[in-house]
Amino acid sequence: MSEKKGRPEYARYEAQSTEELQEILRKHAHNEIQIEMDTEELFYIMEVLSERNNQTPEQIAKTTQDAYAAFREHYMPKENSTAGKTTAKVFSARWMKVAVAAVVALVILCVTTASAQAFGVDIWGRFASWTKEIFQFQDASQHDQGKDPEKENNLELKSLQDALDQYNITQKLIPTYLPSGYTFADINVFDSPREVSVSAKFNRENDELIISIRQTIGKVPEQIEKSDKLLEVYTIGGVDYYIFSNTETLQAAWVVGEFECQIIGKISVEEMKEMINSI
Amino acid sequence: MATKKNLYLARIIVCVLVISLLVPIGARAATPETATPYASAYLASYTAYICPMGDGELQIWYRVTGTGTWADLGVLSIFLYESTDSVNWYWVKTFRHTEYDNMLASNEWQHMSHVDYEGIPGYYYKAYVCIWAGPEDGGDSRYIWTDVERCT
Repeated sequence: MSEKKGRPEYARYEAQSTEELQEILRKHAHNEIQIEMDTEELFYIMEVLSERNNQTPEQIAKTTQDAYAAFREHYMPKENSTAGKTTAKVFSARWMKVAVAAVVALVILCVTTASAQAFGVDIWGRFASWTKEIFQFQDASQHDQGKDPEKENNLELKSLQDALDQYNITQKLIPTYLPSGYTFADINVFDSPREVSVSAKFNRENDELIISIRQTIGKVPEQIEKSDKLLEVYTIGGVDYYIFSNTETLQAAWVVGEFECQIIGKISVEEMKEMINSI
Repeated sequence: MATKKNLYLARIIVCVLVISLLVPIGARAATPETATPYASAYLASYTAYICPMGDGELQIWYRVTGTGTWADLGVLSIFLYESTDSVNWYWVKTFRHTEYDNMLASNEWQHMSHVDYEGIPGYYYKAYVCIWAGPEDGGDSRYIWTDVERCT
């Protein structure tokens, strides 16, 4: 669905910087641009920005449904297959080759995994995935039934634990340690048909620290901004905590059951680990 | 004959082992840890998704978390697309924060809300969402597609 094709009149946007294009979008959204821009023009700009981010709309739009459809097309057995019909050569030479190939593939997989672990790449342990710009946990559950919709609300709760208690969330998800100087400032509780999000903010002079817990129902892919480098996968209590930087802030993300948790703040790796240790 | 066959098998095993050792080395070299930095000083995380609510009602939800408190935080625009076959898509509506107060929050560190649309049961929908966070004199945007949802 490329909006750039056949629109040479918008080619001038290619020459503009990313900051200039983002400013155009911002001004347009704020009604600061007097000349009305049509949707195609806006999409042209968005596409230029997407390509610069190396993340085309088509790539983003590649949905699970598409992948599942392709899987069904290529790999699922056809319903009208010749199941039940017996053939004389049940285990033919052709199937033998397939079996040998499968065994070889299995051996490669096992040895690769073992050697990958030796090189420090934890293949099976990483259900989380990241690109160069975002981090997200893969959806492990495919059930998609929503619960009754509820309006989002903001509760004036004293602590994050109070909010979790209200949702009968008994798992230990919250750090009991806060880096020196941080004090409770605000809390948000949001409900949607697909997720419950409970987050708290703590302040230390001009710095802010956010702890966010969300319980998802079905597929709610969240994208987490990150710099290029995953600093560490810190494992404690059988849980992998992914620690990475996002410009000036440090972030940690982890999954416990159906809960996805984050800590975001201008703190050191040591302080982050100490918070994690206190969960 | 048996020796020749054993030699052949030995060669295969050696090849498998060599490939198995080389693959993770290549994989490690290709990990994003060596990729170009790309992050945001304003945005920490975000998501957007469509919820079919029945009777044709669609809710387009978005949640944006900033790296801190920002003058503007939320979504600027939502472009909604419709399809009868999930292949050919047609733009049907644009939601702008200037028309929907709950799209962009002021002086917040996190924002979550939704806009509604009356869809056609059985049709498919997806949205292109412009995420925004920043102070009054700047900011950062991201553009994400929601997953495709079938209206019920």
